[in-house]
Amino acid sequence: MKPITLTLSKICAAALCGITLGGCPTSPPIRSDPAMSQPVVQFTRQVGYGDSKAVETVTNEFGSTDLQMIAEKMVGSMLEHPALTGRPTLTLSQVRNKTSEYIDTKSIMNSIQTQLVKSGKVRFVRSIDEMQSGVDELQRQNQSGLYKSQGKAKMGNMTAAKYSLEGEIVSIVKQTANTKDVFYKMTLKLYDVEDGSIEWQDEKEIRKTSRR
Amino acid sequence: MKPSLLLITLSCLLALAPIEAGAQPVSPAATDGIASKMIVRGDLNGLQVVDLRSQVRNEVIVVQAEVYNFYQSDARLYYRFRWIDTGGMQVGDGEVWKPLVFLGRQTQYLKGTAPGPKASDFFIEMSAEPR
Repeated sequence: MKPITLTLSKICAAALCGITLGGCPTSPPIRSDPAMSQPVVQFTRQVGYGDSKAVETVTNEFGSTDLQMIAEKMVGSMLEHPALTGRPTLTLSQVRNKTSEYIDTKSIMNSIQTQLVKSGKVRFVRSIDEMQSGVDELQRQNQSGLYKSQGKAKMGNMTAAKYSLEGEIVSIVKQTANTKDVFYKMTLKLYDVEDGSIEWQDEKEIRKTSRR
Repeated sequence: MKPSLLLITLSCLLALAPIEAGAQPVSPAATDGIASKMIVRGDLNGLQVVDLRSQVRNEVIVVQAEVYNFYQSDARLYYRFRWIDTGGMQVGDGEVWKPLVFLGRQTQYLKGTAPGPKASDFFIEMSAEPR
């Protein structure tokens, strides 16, 4: 019996040592001057940089993870679809926010647009919102008389969009005294501008439940 | 054995025991081939990738992983795909971590689509916690 007792004791002692050593913070590096400051603007409140791709569950309102998950799902689904064969031209149209919250739908669409452009599978042309600045620049180059003809962007050469991206986001909120359940649904459609048909469509659903 | 030593021994054994009583530790991947495509952070709380398949659709890689929860207890999985080009460099900025709840003994499918035709290979990064 005694050798077994001793063996178990040794195992326990080793395990405890391991736990104790593992729990201890490592000693900070020695600095020549402990009062030396770092190149940061810092106040008494603790602020740290986090992972922008981490799952955010601070509250159950629409958050960064929801935006990123919606954009990823939509882009992945669209890239798989044969409608994007041949690098077609797309434009962004409106995304209606039918939730009870303020959600910057333009930001969702910008994330989707960024990922699609980076994929190299599509080309985006100016949306209605972005058109005026493009027209202004064309008029400045062609009508101000300030520019020589060589290298000047000519009027009437804009490429029209073959497809238009439109969508909406809705939410259903259920709440009791200590539980809140929010269901988001984002629907995105790719319309053929010429004939008005839907070439591709997908949805992303997100459920978030919080308890007091 | 002294009572104090016995208490320490029992505490150690309880600390080292699996979370689910009587549960065997579950490998994160069903085969070595699947394991070679995974980056796992610690124990997956009974979750295992039992099937992994990929195909090319419209010039982009589409991956589907079938994950099974071998435990009765629920688990929350965090996962993301990492896409690699032919030179071994990461394609894109990296995906967002996605949470997925598994009920006990439940199977779920994880699907990932490469961010473009440049991606030629992938890894699935996983991390799990008890729900």
